[in-house]
Amino acid sequence: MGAATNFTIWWRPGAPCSLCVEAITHGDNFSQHTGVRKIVINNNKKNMKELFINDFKVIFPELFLIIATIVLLIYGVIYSTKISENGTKPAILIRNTTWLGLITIIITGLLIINNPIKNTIFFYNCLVIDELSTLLKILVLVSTAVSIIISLEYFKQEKINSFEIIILILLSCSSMLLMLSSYDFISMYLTIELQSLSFYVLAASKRDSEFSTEAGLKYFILGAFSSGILLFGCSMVYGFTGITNFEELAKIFCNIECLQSDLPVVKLGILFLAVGFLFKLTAVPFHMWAPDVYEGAPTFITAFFAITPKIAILGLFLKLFLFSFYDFLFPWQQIILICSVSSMILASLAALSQRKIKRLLAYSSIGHMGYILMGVSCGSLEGIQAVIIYLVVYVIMTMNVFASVLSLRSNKAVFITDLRLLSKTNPMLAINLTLILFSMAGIPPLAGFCSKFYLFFTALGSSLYITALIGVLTSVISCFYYIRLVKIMYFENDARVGPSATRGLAYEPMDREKSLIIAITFFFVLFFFIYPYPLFLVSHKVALSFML
Amino acid sequence: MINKMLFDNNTILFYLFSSIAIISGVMVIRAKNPVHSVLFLILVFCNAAGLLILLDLDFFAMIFLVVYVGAIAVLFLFVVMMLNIKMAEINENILRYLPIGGLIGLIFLFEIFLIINNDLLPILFVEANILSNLESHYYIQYLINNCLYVYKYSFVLLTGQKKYYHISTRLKRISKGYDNFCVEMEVPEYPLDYAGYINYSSITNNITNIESLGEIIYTYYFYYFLVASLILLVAMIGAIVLTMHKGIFVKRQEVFEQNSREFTKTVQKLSY
Amino acid sequence: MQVKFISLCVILFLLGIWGIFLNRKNIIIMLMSIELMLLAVNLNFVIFSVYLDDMIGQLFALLVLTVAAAESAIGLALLVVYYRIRGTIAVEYINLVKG
Repeated sequence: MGAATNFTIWWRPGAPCSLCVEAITHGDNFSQHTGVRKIVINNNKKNMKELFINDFKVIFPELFLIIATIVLLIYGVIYSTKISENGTKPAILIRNTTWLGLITIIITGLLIINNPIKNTIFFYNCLVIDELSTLLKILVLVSTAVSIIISLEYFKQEKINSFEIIILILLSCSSMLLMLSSYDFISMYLTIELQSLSFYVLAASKRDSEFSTEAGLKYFILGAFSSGILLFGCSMVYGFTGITNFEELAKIFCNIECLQSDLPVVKLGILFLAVGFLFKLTAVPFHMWAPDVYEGAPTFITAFFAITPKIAILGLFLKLFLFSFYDFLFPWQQIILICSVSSMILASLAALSQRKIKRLLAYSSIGHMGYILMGVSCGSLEGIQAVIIYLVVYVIMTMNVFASVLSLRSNKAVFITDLRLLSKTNPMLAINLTLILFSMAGIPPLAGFCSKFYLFFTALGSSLYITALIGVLTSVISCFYYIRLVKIMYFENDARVGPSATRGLAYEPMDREKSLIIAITFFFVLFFFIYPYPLFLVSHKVALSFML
Repeated sequence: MINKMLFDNNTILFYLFSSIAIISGVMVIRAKNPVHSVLFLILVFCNAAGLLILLDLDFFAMIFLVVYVGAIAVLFLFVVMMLNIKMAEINENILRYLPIGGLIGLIFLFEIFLIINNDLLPILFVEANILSNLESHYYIQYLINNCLYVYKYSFVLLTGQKKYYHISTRLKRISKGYDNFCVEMEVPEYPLDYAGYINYSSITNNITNIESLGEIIYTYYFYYFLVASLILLVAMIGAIVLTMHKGIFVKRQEVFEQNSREFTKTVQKLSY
Repeated sequence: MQVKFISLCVILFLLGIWGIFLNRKNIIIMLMSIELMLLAVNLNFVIFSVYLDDMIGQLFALLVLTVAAAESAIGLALLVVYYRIRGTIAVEYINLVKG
């Protein structure tokens, strides 16, 4: 293998000399480049350490999160099986682990914000750090932290004692951070699977409830199926280009329509990839079991579902389709447009007939995904900016809504009529919920209206006239079911009819953490229109990072 | 160019393995007894391993057998035996869906074939024309190099002479014009009481499948290796979270505590 | 040769999809169809790697194998938990959370 041999090379100038270890300038025709050179074929093995030594410094936040998760796991396993000396009951670790998990996430967030390296490709072209990934990582961390905070009281009420839930939440969070940094098909697929696996288990984590296990099973089948389709798309693109890196794909597909070297199989691969992603984003022709999963899973997991994976998968979707496959814009733009239009229409129409809160929220999140896909299919920088603004506002609104729904757990709010007379029992919560629902419907001057307005503006700027018109019309239709919730809260006082007739209206004060979350998000949504510039600037900077 | 035979071993084996794989795949879905389904799944996996051996990928064939058949199919078999699955009765609804579903599936299949065939066939023809010259170049080069070695070795073996430079210069001039570079290596001298045959596998830089995989997965792409380990960790935690009943109030033997007890301190006299 | 191999993989993949949708028996057939899909994609990657003389396809196939094993473990655990609660795994009884 590493034998030292004497050799003589004859070559022509311009030809690469692939056998020498050092680069030497070559002269005229057929000049001889001789010598005794030691051909050490595996020279680079010694220098492998120097190749990667800086990458661990770049990935330090995610590394910290993973190691902290493992340490928490060891801590939880040791102390939850330790039998104390006077009794036989081991410690209840869930609150402990939750607060420690929260600290971990806050420290990871601080590490990501203060990362000295802002733009790099590392781990041998597997991972990347740029403005898009940094912003979305911070958003993912914030939403994970909020999901953990609002679930504290849920653990106490439902008497959940398995601390592994927090470990799985932290591991899925780390996978989402790695997903946003991924720059290759392999790392994309591995992190999507890591996140999906944690979510399958989380959805079924309430083991003695039929709804939860059925939701977990349905989510598993849906998720595994969509991963299979995504992988098939990856294999087709890889097979006919030989490339799995996003940047190399962007380079090779440059101006592909002008070259008239059409690659229909690569388009097929891109179609499969798009379908796989649309399954994961619960867009409409592929939303089959998403409302069932949202309804059956425990409520704090539904909150986590509706917010965090959407951010990560959208980040990946943006990077893949607007950076690598940008030159195939016309094929996939039509697909995404059809999905977006049908999402908006179906979500607004189907949510009209829902009687349960979580299904309503599921259909409304499908509708929001429709709007976001409309922004993605614009294919312009303003489109990316609009998508990011809408995403941030959507995340904040959804956090608020789920925190409010979770605070009604005392009387197990399942049906929408369980919200009745909230104005009398908890007026502050009623005002908060009213304004948040108005914001979701897109009523000015709240934050939801600003983001939708900018999105429609962008769509009009990319000549998507009919889509924008359908968007506006479905906004109006969706107003109805949001305002119906407000009507139930304020005006429905006939307690003798409806599915909630036999349920009592107990009033329990909200705990401190949830009230903080609700207050902060409420004020953001209310006063966003006064000073929206920071968000606009940040999203513009992120959109500009696609120019590279 | 090298003639491609129509019915050589490779093609026959390929058709055999793939047809059994497809038929077993259909039987996985259509078998009435779920244990039969699992056994047909094992057959699919074994045929896939056979196909991989045809591709000269020995490591992958082995790993498919070990992981797919040995772990996944065995897991399926355990679960099928553990759950009380009734054998399915003949359901009229299946036959109702079959024409439309089958038609849609066939249309899908046909479209994919159309796309693949349109794309591949021109490339195959063009590539055959272009590569034939280059391939024949390399083939001739390889032959020349090998003949050089064989000539040199046989010359050395037969005559005991070590002087073969004049032969090498003649061959060098022949092969000079064909290529960008022509490498001529000085032959390392083997002792004459070597067994008398030439060990080509030490001269040609041959590498096995597992070695080539190891050269990338542990050096340049170790990040994937680490993420795969995290996936396995999540699978383990998930399986335990879902199915383990932690008996908190069950009294168990704590052997270490029992052994480390100091017996002089366990029973004490408190009062008279 | 490559077209034959790719078409074999496509047929296996479509068989897997068909098994998920046209399955009226029990959920374990769905899990087995998912494994068939992943097997088809694995073979696809391997044949592309051999044809392109590129090791990335084989690397990807090895990692997909790992993920398929982990996923089947979790899927079967979910199935076992579901069976404990419901007592059956027939497809027509998955309608508690109705859509």
